[in-house]
Amino acid sequence: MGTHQLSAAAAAALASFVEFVEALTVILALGASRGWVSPLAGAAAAAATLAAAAAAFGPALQHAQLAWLRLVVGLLILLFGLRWLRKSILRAAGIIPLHDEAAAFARTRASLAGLPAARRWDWTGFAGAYQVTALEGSEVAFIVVAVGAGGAGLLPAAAGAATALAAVVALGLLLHRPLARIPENTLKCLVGILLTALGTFWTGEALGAEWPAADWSLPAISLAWGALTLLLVRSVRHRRAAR
Amino acid sequence: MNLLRRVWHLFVDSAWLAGAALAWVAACAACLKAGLGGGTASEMLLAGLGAALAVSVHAAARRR
Repeated sequence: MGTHQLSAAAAAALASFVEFVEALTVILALGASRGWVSPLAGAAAAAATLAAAAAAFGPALQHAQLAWLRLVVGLLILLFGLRWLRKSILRAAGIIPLHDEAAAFARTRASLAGLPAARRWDWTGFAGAYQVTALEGSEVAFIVVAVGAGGAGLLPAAAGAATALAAVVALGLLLHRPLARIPENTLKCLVGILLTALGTFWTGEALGAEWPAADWSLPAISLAWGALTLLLVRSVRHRRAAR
Repeated sequence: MNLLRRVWHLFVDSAWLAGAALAWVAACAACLKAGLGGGTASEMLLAGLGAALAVSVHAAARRR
């Protein structure tokens, strides 16, 4: 497995883990409030929809070796990664609040409290679980399809996402409560760094820029983005403390 | 409209950062076309994108 495939698999696995942890919180709240059958069916239906979408678009894009398509994919991954990175830097520096799974669980349960009691088949539970899994999973599906089209191949990214999904499902079954201790922001930061590095590399290649060590430049670009991230978190914290 | 907004927010948290990143990529492409070396262009790309992120993060920190 080359550096592209490793980075793609790691980015997909970490992003999937974080997104599915957020979906798990809502599914647990729905299950605990309205019974388990409908929310689990909703989550499974959304996961199947996303997998079908990735399977439909992924191979088609992967086989299109057009230069402009590689540029578009590189740019989309770059914008996507920069968005994750900026947000996680602002969270780590204390500018915006960290995501709290326990609070999200409590909020969702409170919002369900006023609804009429659930029957055996509950559309509220099904629709709620479908919506949250589809929303959180759409970013995962994009990462899998885009890194597949960008040059890393669909398989490593899909394997990373599937491993993360299995891990979150296993933890959910085992613990039956929100995964509040997962260092979500650190994971989001790592995803941002990996995606931004992949986006920078592929955009540069599509433009015709030359990376000094070819494929082996990717770890160095990731390190550069990682170092900048640490520097920005420290400098924003420092400025905030000085105010 | 909700779907469009969702797609927009999938890629853009800060319109300024996205715009600056795209403008910098376009500038690198223009420099390459004008004869800039491939190695220098890759350094230019990385440095410019890093600077755009730094400016965007500090601007957001100042605003909040």
